[in-house]
Amino acid sequence: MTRIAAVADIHVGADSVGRVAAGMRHLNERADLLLLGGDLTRCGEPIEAELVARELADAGVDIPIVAVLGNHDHHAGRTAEVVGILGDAGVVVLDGSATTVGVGGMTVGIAGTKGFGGGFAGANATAFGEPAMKAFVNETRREAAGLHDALVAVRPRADRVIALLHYAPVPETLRGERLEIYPFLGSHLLAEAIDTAGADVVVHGHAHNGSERGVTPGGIRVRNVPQPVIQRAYRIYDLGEPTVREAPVAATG
Amino acid sequence: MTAWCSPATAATPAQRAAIVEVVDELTGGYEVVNEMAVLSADEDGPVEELT
Repeated sequence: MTRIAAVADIHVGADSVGRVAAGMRHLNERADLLLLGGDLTRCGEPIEAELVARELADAGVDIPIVAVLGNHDHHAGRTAEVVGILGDAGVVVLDGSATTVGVGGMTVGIAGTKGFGGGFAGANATAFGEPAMKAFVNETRREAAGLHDALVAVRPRADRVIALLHYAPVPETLRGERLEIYPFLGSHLLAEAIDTAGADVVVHGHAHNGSERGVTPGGIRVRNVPQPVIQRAYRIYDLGEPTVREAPVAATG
Repeated sequence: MTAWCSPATAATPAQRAAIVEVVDELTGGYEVVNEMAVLSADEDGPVEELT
């Protein structure tokens, strides 16, 4: 039994001190790994990252913590400092990269990136026309490519693989949001990357008014875990027992 | 210049003040909630099996 706790959009600011810690006091007993799906801070200020680190420390969280940043964490333009502060607190921040964690007798691989918008098949932005539009779409393409490569890299080293995002890869988890803002909440290019590279589950945030459950066109489960959606401090998912791997048998004859 | 960005369609300072007055009247007694505020934590919840 391998349990992962997941939450996104905790938006820690000066007026939320103590709230995250209060909800995570018993996390160590309930989960083997904590995933943070972006928007950890309100405006991406280093002082807010310090508060996130303090909240996790005050809660006594000592299970592995893996995160991606969200759009709010980029707002102040100080992501390097934010990542450094979180790293010093033991949080592994992924950005088109992957890591593995040994938990519950299995190796869990996490490939993560922030992601970006652009919309979904049939109602999506295309890299045509103004340079600004091309830059918008190319940013999503870059994020999707980074996620794809990270998934491909981690898969051979892991029993289970999780894709961790801030933006949504499918429209199903946006149900409840205004249709007009779907292109700003996610992109189908992220789901294409995941389906092509392969994963066991996708965790994302960003869609505060969305729905928790969805699935990629390739059949991979997607879970949207902002606190306003899950209505609790975190959600726990059970990845099950480790798979017994058999060594390849050499051909004879 | 198109109609929707013409200065002629913008509210005057007096109109803005009147709007603020009406909004204050309508929202009086209600607490303004920061939608980004973190919810109070509820740790207990079902575990979903993804096996």
